Amino acid sequence: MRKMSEVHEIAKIEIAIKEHASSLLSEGAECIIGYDKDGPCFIEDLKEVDKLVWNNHCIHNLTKYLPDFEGKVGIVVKGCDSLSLVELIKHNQVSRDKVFIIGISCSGILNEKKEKYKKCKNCSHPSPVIYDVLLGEKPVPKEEDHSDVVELESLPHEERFSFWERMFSKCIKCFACRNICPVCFCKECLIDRRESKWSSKFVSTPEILTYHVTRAFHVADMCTACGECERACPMKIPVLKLYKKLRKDVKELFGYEAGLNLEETPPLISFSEDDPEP
Amino acid sequence: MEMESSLEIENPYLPRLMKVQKIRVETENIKTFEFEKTFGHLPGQFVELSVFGAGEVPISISSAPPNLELTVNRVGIVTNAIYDLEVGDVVGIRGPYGNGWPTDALRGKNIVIVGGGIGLAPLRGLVQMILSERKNYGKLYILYGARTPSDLVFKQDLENWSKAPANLFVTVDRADEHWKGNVGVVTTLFPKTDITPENAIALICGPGIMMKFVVKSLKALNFEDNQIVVSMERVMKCGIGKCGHCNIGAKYVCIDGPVFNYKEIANIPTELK
Amino acid sequence: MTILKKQNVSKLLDELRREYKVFYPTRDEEGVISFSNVGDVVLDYSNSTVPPKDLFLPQTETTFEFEKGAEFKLRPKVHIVKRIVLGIRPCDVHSLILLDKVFSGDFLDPYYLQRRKNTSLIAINCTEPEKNCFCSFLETGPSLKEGADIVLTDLGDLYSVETLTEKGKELVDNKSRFFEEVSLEQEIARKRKAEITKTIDLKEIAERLEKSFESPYWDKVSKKCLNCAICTYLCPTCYCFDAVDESLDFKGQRIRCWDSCMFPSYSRMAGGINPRATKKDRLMQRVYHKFKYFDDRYGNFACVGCGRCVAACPVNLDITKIVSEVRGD
Repeated sequence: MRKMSEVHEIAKIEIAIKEHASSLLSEGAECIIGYDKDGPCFIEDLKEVDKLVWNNHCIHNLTKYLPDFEGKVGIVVKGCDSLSLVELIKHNQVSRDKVFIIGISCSGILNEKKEKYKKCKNCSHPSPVIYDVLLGEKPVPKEEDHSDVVELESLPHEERFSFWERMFSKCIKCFACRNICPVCFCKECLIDRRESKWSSKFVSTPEILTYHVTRAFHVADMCTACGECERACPMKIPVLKLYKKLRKDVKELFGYEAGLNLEETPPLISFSEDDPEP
Repeated sequence: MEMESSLEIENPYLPRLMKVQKIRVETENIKTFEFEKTFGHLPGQFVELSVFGAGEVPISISSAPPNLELTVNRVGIVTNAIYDLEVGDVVGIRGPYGNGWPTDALRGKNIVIVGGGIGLAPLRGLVQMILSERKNYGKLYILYGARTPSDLVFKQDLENWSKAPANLFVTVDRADEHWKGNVGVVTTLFPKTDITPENAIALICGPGIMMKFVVKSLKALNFEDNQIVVSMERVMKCGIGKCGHCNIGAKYVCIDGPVFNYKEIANIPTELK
Repeated sequence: MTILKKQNVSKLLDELRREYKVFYPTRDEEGVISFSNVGDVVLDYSNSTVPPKDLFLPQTETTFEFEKGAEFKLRPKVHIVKRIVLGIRPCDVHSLILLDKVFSGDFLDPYYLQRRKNTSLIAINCTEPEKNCFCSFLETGPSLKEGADIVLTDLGDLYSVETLTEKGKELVDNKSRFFEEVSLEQEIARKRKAEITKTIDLKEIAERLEKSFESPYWDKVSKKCLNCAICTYLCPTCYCFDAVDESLDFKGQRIRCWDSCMFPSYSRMAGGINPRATKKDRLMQRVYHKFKYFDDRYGNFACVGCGRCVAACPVNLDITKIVSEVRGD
């Protein structure tokens, strides 16, 4: 049962989003990227602003869509989404001055079974770290939960590998994990580039692992563990574990965490003489 | 474990093995490959050509039967492998597929053939066929354009056609120091001809954008939609109407085409891009 | 009435396994249901995540092997092991009837057709549709009248057994010790636990699609699409395939694998030209193909109402909404 105060809070946020959307559109914004009752929506007309909603089912990370837009856009971001946005700005995929960030502090998103998503249970950034306007009450941040990665790391090498072999034997190479990831922003993915023959379209263990492992290393210093990859996977492969492992390694090796600081240079695109030798 | 009895049917995916007999270099990137004369096809049809290990691609047949000649432009993995073939190499060929040019409908008509770049390839077989039974057809116009003089294909045929009972017009987008002919895209040739739509059929093949503008020029000359015939190109993986890739609306380029009457595809927007 | 007690299903499967390769629904640790021939059979499921089209049009298969040498060799690979699929749902049975049309015709596809010939289908009628099911609108369920060899209906502790073909009747006769004949004075009421709640408006869909080719509706509805392949790969009637060669030195194989019209590279020609270069073009292609082009060619919508695409789309794109909403104005 939701508390009345929560219901009021959610309704207030929704009204505020609509107000901001209206004024942005009146000022000439190209689009407002928000949520409607069916998920992500793109409001380009004042008449459609009423479609916008805010509720505790707004799971999608909308920052994925930002690089598609040339003009000024408004976007609704939760705490986790804002970390991806920081990365997109750092990697020149989004101009800070072209985006109006409607930040929402949220205390967790519920799935269809009305349970909190796993990633929300130990949310370390419930409030956006970057915003133009901040709505909602700020919950208390929790410690990010690495226990699943630590558990896997504690297993011997063969067991770890056979865990991933079993998981990836289910993979159907739908590429939802890649296509939903906000920091997978390459216009042409090397996996799709047939001429290079890095990978083939057919599905077999070496081909599948090539794709997943390559992607994990490519986004190692940009992944903010937003969890959209795992949510999108139709075969329920726990891909987020793989990315969290790489995040953990990046933190330990370079003392760097993606999504927190606009000024910090990502370690994989910078060089210094005292870089660690892993 | 029990086995089911085998379906005794022909496997349409198994290529026929054929050896490259002759190779003619057309341009820096285009070669024509000749195979044994045991095939049988209609001008305008295509084959699925396999270089085993590289893959399989649809290639227009550029000759009239009984000759089997395939003209290939190297642009991707497979076509580059084809380009590197030598005489005697074994390839796989499936086909002939597709519907071919509507040769019956051309009897007694004035024929306007318009080719762009390697688009002249599926038209060459048609020209050869018309010239071999010349009296069955009316006036013959051949309009052909390529980017530069060195990109012109079938240079020997162009030479022959300039002396044949046909009106040949050739143009290049960009001339070199030796070029004496027309300079400009192929549509710039129309004012130089006396083409009229009376009793005429136009047959076009080339890059999508070229075909789009040629159709415009023909309509400006009052050609009706059903007097215009085009050969379309799409990605194909099977050539036999199953892999789904080559559709234009509800039609498959591999089995309903590649030759279409313009009327059939005129109302599907975006298709002649 | 012939019946099969649920407690006898495992024993029946063990017996069938001596002669056939038997596929049935299984559930993995993460809750994903798939048709497999190893593991425990699961009978309390609504439908599999990946449709059983995989058993007839595998995601990856070798069509032939080649070997270059003094004599060039080509070896086709067609599979002829006898198989049974238990637990296929009416919607998926209908998807195979649709795929049959694609893989026959003027050119017969031996890989698909041989698998169909080798395989007996034991379908199970649906008594608990999921919230995204809409089979009744496409007339493909929740009960099956044709297309399988045997169809079972859940009556609690047992299934009622109906044979639809000679093959099915032979199978039941051969394994009669697992089945029972009962005569009932009143038919046991079917336990329908839920009804189909999803709707789709198919009225005049061909005309509406034809009129709306240039409509701004498609720009709007396609914006959130991610162009992954979930909808196409999980769709029981999607069949598009790619073919590639893999080789090392003088030996190799031609491999056929699933492809998706949602991938930008699907229609991109060598040289770069792409007739469906935008998300909008590709989403339109999917909807038009399913509800117009396939119908134009084969006389049926290429959709069986299984709802998998709706359930699995990560951005909640819903083809039933699109088809119901699209207008020519």
